[in-house]
Amino acid sequence: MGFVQDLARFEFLRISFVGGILVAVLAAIVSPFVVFRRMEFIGDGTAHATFAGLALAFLLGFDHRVVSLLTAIAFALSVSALSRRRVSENSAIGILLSFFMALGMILFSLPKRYKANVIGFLFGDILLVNKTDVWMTLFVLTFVLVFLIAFRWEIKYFLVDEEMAKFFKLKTGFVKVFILLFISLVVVTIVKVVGIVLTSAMLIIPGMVAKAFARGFSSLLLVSVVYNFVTFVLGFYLAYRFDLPPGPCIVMVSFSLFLPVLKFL
Amino acid sequence: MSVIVEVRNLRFSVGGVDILKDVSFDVEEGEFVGIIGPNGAGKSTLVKILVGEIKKYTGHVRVLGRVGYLPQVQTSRRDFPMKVREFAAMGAYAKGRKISWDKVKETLEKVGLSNKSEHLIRELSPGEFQRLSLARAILAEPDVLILDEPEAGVDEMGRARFFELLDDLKKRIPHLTVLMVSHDIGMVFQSCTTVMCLNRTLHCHGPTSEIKIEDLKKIFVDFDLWIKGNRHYEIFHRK
Repeated sequence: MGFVQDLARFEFLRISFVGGILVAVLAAIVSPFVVFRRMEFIGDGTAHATFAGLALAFLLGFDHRVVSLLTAIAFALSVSALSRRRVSENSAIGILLSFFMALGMILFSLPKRYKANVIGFLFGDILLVNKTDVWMTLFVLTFVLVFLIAFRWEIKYFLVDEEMAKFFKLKTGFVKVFILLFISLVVVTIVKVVGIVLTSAMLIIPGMVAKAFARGFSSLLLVSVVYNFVTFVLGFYLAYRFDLPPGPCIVMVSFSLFLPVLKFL
Repeated sequence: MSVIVEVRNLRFSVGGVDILKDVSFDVEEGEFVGIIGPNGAGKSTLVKILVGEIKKYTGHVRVLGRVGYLPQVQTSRRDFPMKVREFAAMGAYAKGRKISWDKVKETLEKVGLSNKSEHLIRELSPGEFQRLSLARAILAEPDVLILDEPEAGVDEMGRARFFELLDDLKKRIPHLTVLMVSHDIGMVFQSCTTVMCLNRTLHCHGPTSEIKIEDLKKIFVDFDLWIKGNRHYEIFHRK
């Protein structure tokens, strides 16, 4: 039981573990939205866009969470603006993803001393999660849950039939903006755990699994949360046990457990 | 009876091509109007204008009261895990953010889906899903119900059941006005009180009994061929 003892003994490990669980739960709640709104690519794009935000934050000495979030929102707005100009949404994401990533690389290359952080952000470093991250994740999680409860019917109808929800004058525009905002917020919080490149796994796989087994909106969220929780704990433990990087371990576990689910999709 | 839908000199063009031109008509409360016409006649465009989906047109269009709508292409994500009763309740919820489950249950009974209210929408057949969409539209308590090719993608049995349901609905709610675009001309002549023949402009419009076969031949190029194999042949034969 070295793992449990070490969790009790080392605060950094405890914070990483708790922070990681909160991030996994948060990502799982947003995951069904990503899957049912077919926004898988935008999640990935937003994650890459935060790279430019992180670089900018380190260059200017600002809080990286705030700058990453602003970059993520700027990315979402740019995608929306480009897609209004006869560029398909996927093309817009593809173009802007490369642009934001290139911008990040250039910004990171300016002050030589920060180069080492690049790999950490690309593939995540859960052991860098601190108390502020945990509180921030808890705050975002509460905010998302309150929104989910207050607007559950609007959200459900938006997901099942946006056109008719719009026809019935339900607040679809409002829900859409909030979902985009949530994705941005969640991506910013996940990046630290699994990194930019691996974010998609935490954001897409639980939603796909939930889609296969859920029999209602509540069970959709529940299955997704349980799946991400289990894969996180398993991945984190394997990383601890075999001294491997936690982010990739979590993704490997999540992917391995997803394979048998394919049969039910 | 008062006029509930009023259209005057309606024109809608795309890239200089008229999709609808000089369309004028009135629909009175309680009428059951069948809108027929060949492919590309502008029927769905007219529906989209009536329900407010298309706004850039010229002319005057006025629909009084609440509109219920069943679109041609089902825009729903059938794979979303939603129960049949919850889906139907969208119409009721739209009225005031409150759902009367008794009313939902009653409406599902009317459309013959009460035994499936706890099923997921993905478990319904296309015909059942079409009836569910009708229940959703009814639950919004519309004054005008607009249906765009409700028979599309539904098998023969499902289609007959749907039209039977509409007839029944009209009997129970006589003041409900129904406008229905359909390719099933036989069913339109059997169920509707009024027929509109549209081919970019309005070719004929009047009570079903007064529509002449010659009027239909003018807009349907292969009408003679079609009529021979139609199960409602006798309706037209009488004409």
